[in-house]
Amino acid sequence: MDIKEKLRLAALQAETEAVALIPPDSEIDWTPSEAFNEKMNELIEPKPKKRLFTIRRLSIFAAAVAVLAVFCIPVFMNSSENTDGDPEHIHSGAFYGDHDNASDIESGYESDILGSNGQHTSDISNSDSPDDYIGEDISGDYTDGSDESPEIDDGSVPCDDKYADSSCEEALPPVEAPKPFFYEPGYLPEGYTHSDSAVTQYFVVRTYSNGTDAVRLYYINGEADFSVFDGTRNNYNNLDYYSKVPMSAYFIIDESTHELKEYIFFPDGVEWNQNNVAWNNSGMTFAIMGNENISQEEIEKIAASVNLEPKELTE
Amino acid sequence: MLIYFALIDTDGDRDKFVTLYEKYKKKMFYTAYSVLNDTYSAEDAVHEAFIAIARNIDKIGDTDSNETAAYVCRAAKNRAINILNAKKREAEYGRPLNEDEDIAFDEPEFERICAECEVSHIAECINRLQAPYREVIVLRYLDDMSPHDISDVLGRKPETVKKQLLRGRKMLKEMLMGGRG
Repeated sequence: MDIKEKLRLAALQAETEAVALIPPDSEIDWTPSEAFNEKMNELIEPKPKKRLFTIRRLSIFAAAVAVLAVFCIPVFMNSSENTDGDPEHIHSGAFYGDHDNASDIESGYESDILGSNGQHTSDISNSDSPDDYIGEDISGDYTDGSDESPEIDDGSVPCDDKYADSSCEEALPPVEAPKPFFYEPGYLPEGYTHSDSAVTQYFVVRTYSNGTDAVRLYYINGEADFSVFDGTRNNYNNLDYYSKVPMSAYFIIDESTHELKEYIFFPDGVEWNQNNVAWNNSGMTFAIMGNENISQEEIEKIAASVNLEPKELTE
Repeated sequence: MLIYFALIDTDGDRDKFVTLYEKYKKKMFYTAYSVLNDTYSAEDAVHEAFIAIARNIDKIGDTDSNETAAYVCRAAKNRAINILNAKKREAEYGRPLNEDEDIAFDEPEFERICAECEVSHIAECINRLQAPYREVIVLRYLDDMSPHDISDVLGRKPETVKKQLLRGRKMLKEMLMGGRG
């Protein structure tokens, strides 16, 4: 008998024995109160005039909210300026994720916004306060005169960009593990099972190695879950994942606030060579990618909040 | 103004729900009262449990089965525990774990011991567990709930639930090993 089934039967038997200890109804001295009877009557036979919502109407309403959210979230994301880093560094491709955003803005924004010839863009007010520039579009006015601007605000990025998100449709090239790393099952967080049940959204944190198991991180309803599989390479929502890949870290992020609630880093990691940003933490390296529900920007902010510094990897 | 959702759509489900109500309401009240020692709070717990039952009425099979009886009583108990925790009367329930407590646990060893024991012996040991650990163990293995779901049901922090699961399994393992010796 499968252990899981055995434990289930044992738990059921334990519960059944506990119920058997409850005295018969005739010995239970309880007369339901009037308030209780009213509440139960409403539950069993809701009065028509109070039945404002049916399951069908709620379903339609929920679908409408979901459709609006899909269209509105990108608009809100694009309208907010990424002010967490030094724009000069963003432009050059080396994002250092400094927490002290105020000092970065004060030192970096003024020189960049003015440009090499002191010219302002039409959207920028003539003010010395760095706060006035937050949220403004300053693309094109970079001190080194380069035409390239980081696609921070735009969710649609080319697939060869190092900040490519999950919408990239090009097949990712295969990557070989640079060095071995062995996954230890004891580090799998308590309570997480090996199930491959349907998921609606996810982002992936992974490393590559010659380990024995592959782990996918699922982000479901605000909490991460894990799935372990030993299949072959698959392409899921345009994100390739490989078999025999061990877990190095997981995040639990509140779905509504995108606040990082919990994270764990496992003790080993390997360099990862892909066209996504790789992150270092005390010698560990792993990649974090956003998806249609959490943008790469959000991931960067979250990672920066736990002192993760991204670095660019070369092919 | 109170708004009630139409949780029960069909007449068949409604009949089943009424049968469950008439058959188990006193047992559920008894279970909730044994946790809360307060009639009105126990009634609240029973009412909340019936709301949860109504939402899952289509998953309930035979209304006379041991599994159904255990499920409805467990629903009442869990709501009662939730109410109790909300009132911050932790006492025997939700006792915070010592942060320095060693909770190292050998999963393969636990499974090996369970494989060697009879179901009835495991059930007996589960019933001997202290209340907070028994509750999380039952929800984990009988209802296949994740620590997040268990924390929602019992009104405890997910971290607490994880530690209680770990510690509960460790205690269960020790009981099972002692029983064999």
